[in-house]
Amino acid sequence: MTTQPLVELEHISVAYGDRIALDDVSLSLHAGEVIAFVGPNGAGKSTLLKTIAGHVRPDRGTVTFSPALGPHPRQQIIYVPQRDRLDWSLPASVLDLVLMGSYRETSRWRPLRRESTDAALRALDVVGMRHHADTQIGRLSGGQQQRVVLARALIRPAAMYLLDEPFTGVDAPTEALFEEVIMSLRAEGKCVVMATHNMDCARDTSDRLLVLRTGVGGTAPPAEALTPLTIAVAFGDISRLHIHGQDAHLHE
Amino acid sequence: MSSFGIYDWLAEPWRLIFMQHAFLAIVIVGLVCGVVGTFVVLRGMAFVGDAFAHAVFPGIVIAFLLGSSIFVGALVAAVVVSLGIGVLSQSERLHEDTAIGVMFAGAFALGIALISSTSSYSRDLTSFLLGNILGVGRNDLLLTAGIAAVVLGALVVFRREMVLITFDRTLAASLGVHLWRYDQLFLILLALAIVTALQTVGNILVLAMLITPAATARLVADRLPAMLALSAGIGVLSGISGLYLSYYWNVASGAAIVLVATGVFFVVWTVVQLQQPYRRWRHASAARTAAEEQASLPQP
Repeated sequence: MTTQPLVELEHISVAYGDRIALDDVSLSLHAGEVIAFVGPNGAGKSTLLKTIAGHVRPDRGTVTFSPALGPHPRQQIIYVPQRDRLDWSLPASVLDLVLMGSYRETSRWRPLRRESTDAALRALDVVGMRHHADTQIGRLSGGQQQRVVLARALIRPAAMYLLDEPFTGVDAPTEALFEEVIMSLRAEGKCVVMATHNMDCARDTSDRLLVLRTGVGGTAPPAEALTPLTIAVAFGDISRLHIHGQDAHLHE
Repeated sequence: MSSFGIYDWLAEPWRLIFMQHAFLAIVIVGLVCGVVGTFVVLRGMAFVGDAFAHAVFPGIVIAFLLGSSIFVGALVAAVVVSLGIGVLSQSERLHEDTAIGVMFAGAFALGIALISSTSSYSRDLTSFLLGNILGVGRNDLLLTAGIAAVVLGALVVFRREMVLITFDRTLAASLGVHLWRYDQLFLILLALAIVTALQTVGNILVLAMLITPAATARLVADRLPAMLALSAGIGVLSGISGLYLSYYWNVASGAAIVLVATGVFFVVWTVVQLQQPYRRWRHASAARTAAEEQASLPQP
């Protein structure tokens, strides 16, 4: 890709105590592309997303933002957590929860304006949940909760969306809807980065895949599930593959 | 009892100026603790609330011994303890609740040690620990009202941050909310709410004013504004009812107030438990409707 990347990660390493989550990962993220991070549990997919979002500070390496993202680049990057990161028993309606995403657009000194509510309802429309605007969040099914979490991200314009396991625990219609939303974000020139276990969705929606492996850095053996052979079988076209670590030659 | 009798029964305590002060004080305390307590309960900070109530004790005693404002003393103690907890919990081997336990027990002991050096030890200690609502003077009342206005005003001004931090800290951080700053602000507001309640219900029972009305509201409220209103309402009504009980049956006022609040909690809890089978049935039918809706969506 020839355009300047929105975000450039160089030699990122992150450790939680003794456990190395990411070891020397470099990656550039561009506008208008969809990238999927795949790999087994504990391979560092979420950590990499959180590093881009700024929730995790890398022990080594740099994250560089394009000037196009403005003076506060991280505010142009929206992290969409897994639904189980939220306490769904809290006293709020679906609309309340989505409106929380519009924090930066609301005023400390004025009551909530009509435009904010309209934006929240539009976002709910996109994920097919408008008719649930007044529903208590605790009454939603898992798939509906994931839709609401996505709507909360869509209420605010941004350049980059980081989706953490968006397809986990959702039904087929929701999966299809998310793929549609991801595609329309890409068409609008947004960069969408997702961490996922769902190889089918990763293959169908993404322009590039980053395969992360479990283990202590690049010297660990690849996880059994991610041998070049199984990857080739799982993803079909290995020319789009980008393998982090020793097997980088596969990309060639 | 005739209607006139009930009126008389209700009005009688109000003829006494100290009872008027007591009623006004408990209304303010019920309101402030109900509102602050809502956030305490939603954030699962009951233990922190308890710890803070005890930890401000030495500050109050020192201020009392120096003859300065107990409100300032409590605030200084709250800030010191909150920083202390922060520093201690940096250690990888200590959980935050362990650090809180160490700090609050130590601080409480310091308060008792300090006050035991005074000649009027037992009377002063009792009044701090159990409160002395009948001793609320005009100036105390004005100060309590002033602090209440500051706490409620701050919660209104910073409502967006407080709600975000309560519901989703990750989202709050990614939207640029400074978590540490607003956590500290909340702890200061919590300390102020505790201080308003010290004279009315005393140090030991402050926690009940913070937790019990909010916990009761949590059982039934589906929305934050409803929970706030209900929690404050239950706090105020428990306070007023407790004062009447204390007046007519000669029970310690702080204990009477807390017992009413606890009674309300158990009544509501029982009603909610009895409704469970019906609620489960309604949930199941709502889930069926949702599943049907999903199925009727166009398939890809």
